Amino acid sequence: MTRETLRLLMIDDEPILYHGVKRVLEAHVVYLEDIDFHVSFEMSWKGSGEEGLACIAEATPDFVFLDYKLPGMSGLDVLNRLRLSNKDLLIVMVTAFASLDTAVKATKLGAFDFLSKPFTPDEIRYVVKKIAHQIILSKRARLAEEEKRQIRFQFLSVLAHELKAPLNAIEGYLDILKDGEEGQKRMMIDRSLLRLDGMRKLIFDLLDLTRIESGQKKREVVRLNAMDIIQRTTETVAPLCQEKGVKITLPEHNVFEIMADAGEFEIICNNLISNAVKYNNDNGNVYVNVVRLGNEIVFSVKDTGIGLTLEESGKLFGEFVRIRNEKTMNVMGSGLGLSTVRKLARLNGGDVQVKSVFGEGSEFIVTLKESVQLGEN
Amino acid sequence: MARVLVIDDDKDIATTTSLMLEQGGHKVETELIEKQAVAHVDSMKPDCLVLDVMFPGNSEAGFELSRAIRSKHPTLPIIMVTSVNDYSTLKFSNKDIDNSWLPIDQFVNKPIKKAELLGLVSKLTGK
Repeated sequence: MTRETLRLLMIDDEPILYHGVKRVLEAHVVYLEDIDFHVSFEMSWKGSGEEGLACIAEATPDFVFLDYKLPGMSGLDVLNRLRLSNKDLLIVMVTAFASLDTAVKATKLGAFDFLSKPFTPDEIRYVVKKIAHQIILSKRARLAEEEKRQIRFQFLSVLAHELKAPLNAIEGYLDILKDGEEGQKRMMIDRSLLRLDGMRKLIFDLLDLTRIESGQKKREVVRLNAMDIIQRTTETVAPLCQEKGVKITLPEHNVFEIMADAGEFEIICNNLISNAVKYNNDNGNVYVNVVRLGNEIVFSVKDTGIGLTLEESGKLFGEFVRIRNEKTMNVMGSGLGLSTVRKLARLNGGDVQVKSVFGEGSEFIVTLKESVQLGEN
Repeated sequence: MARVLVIDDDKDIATTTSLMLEQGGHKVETELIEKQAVAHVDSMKPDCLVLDVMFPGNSEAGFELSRAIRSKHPTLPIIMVTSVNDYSTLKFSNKDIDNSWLPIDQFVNKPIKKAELLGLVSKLTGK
């Protein structure tokens, strides 16, 4: 929305002054150039501080023009009460006695600005523009903040659920183990250990993700040999490869220098290569490749595994997304790996995409922009 | 002895639940795939269902399943297990059971306790 009407309440014992302000602002539209936003005004009037407070309690306006010298409660009393009530509204003190003393007092009580009587239409327009700018910007900031809180809450809810799942499973096994049959003990202990492992993986992935998102992790883009990291990753999945009879084929070159953060590249390699093994069929193949296209590094991992349906491919990079079917049932994963890969790829000015044929296999292709060209370092 | 079908996408929860039931002398089958659940009920014709609330990608899958199954098997007892009661106040409780929206017989919070589960199954099936 690029247009909003702000509500102004004027508290002043002189109705004629209100009519003056109303004439100026009624058809007036403030244009906020920097955020391309139009603001118009809706006005109401109360003749005393008491009535004004009652009106605010009922429906809080966006801002108030508050007379300093009112019959009964003074303008400063009203200001004080409003400050204590924590209402979210801006107050402009209107005064015929624009002394420094008044200004200091009112500012201490939280007044946003001043208008000294008599004021000109230009002065009114000037002050409402300042106010409109302030209100709209803080509304926007609040909305963004609220949205962030929502996303965070959602993330934490899902995370809590994911952390509880293995606990529930392990607790169940322990409950049965108490008076279980000998023969099943080994299986239950094995499954418990597997779930603990999955939980640890989730915590690691979570820490990776949080570190990347918070910017806490200092990025160090250096010249490194991508093949070193690829080979190291291959070694960590070697036991699983052996178990499943999966063969990994690496590019022929032993040295492939890229400009990247070693930790980031390792996370990408780790996630993609271990997925390619985990979701592969027995005796399947994994082909890893890294090439340079212009100023982009293209890193790809292709498998001959279970593949993805179109629907699955579409949601694959979201947080906590795990594809569950008969074939993935025994594979432990946190559901954070691919979303982290995408974050890292985008952080490097690139992206990740997947090409997949259900039942035949998938290929994940990560592009990374080299911000600093090789040779400059 | 009752014949019980356990429907849960988490293989380990399905396993532990069925082991608990087997220790109680019941005969158990498990179904891990939401889409196959109704057909599995049709073919097995169990005496009781233990159904998970949430399946990946659809937090209401369990509710939908309970409605689909209840309409075909109106007298089949359904125990619903849930881990969504995360907070100090329960999000769902037996008060929410409703024949049109949530046609089940009993809520049980995860982690399931063997004694509670066995007690419920025999109460609901009389077996």
